[in-house]
Amino acid sequence: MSDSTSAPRHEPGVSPLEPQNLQGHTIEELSDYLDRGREPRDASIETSPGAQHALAALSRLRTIAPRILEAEAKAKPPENESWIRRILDQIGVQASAGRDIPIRADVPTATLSISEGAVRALVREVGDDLEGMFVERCRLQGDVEIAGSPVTVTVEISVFRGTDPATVIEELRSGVVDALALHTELNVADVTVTVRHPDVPETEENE
Amino acid sequence: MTDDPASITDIEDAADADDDLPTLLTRMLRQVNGVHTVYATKPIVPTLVTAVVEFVKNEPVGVHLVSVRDGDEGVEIEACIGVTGDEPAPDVCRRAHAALTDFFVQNGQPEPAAISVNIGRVG
Repeated sequence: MSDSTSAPRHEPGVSPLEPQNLQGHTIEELSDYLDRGREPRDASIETSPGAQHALAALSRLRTIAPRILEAEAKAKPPENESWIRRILDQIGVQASAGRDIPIRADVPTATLSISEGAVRALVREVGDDLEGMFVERCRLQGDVEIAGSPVTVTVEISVFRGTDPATVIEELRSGVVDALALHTELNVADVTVTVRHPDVPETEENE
Repeated sequence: MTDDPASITDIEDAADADDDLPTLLTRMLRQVNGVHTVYATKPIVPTLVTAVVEFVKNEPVGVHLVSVRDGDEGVEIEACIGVTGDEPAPDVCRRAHAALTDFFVQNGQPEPAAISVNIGRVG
């Protein structure tokens, strides 16, 4: 057996998420960066092949994990939510909050809003529910903090091999428009969907 | 009743409860239809560190999620909530605001001078 082909699948270093493959970055840092919709742009991450591989792996994990958890939840009775998970949830919401997007209030003493992070997560979840793609990045462009100001939603996606990009783009755009109309009072002028990676293998030997 | 704005202490006394006002409001918000989580309005990490220090020093531990301040015009409330995706998030946000207002009215106190409710997560 030659050295070039004998590496076992679980040998340390095979996964793009192994610390030695992250080229100086950490999983926490990359995960936060992904949560922020890759904003503001970090050149050290965007130009690092190792970090890019890890980001792609984290994105795939984000797509697949809810389905695994759902299957697990069906197989097991519910347990008490762990306090660590609740704390991480708190930290995650604060870390990705972004700008406050106003919600109309009937009384002058009320200030109601939804965070930009919550809206970006809504967009990501629309993508998670669709087959054949995952959302890489989402941005809200415009004065979202001013009620009624036109906003453009820009979504970058990756499409799995064998999936028709045109179909998923239309499904995503339609789903995003519906979700934002239901849960926000944003004046959505346009939803722009761009395919960042058009031919992603659905299963990679990264484990 | 005087024209002076209600203070936090007044309201805690009126509520006749062992818990402080932020804790009472947090508990109340969790009961609002469509609200599944109450998030911290202040950075949670320093707050947790403070809580751990208090715990180690054997002093009362409290991590307040809802912020309550005594302002010039009266009590000011700030809350951040997670809502279910089953109904429009703005509707749940307004319901949470109304519940906060009702809490004060039901305890015989003036309405807060300002109430801020932010949605941190949907679904």
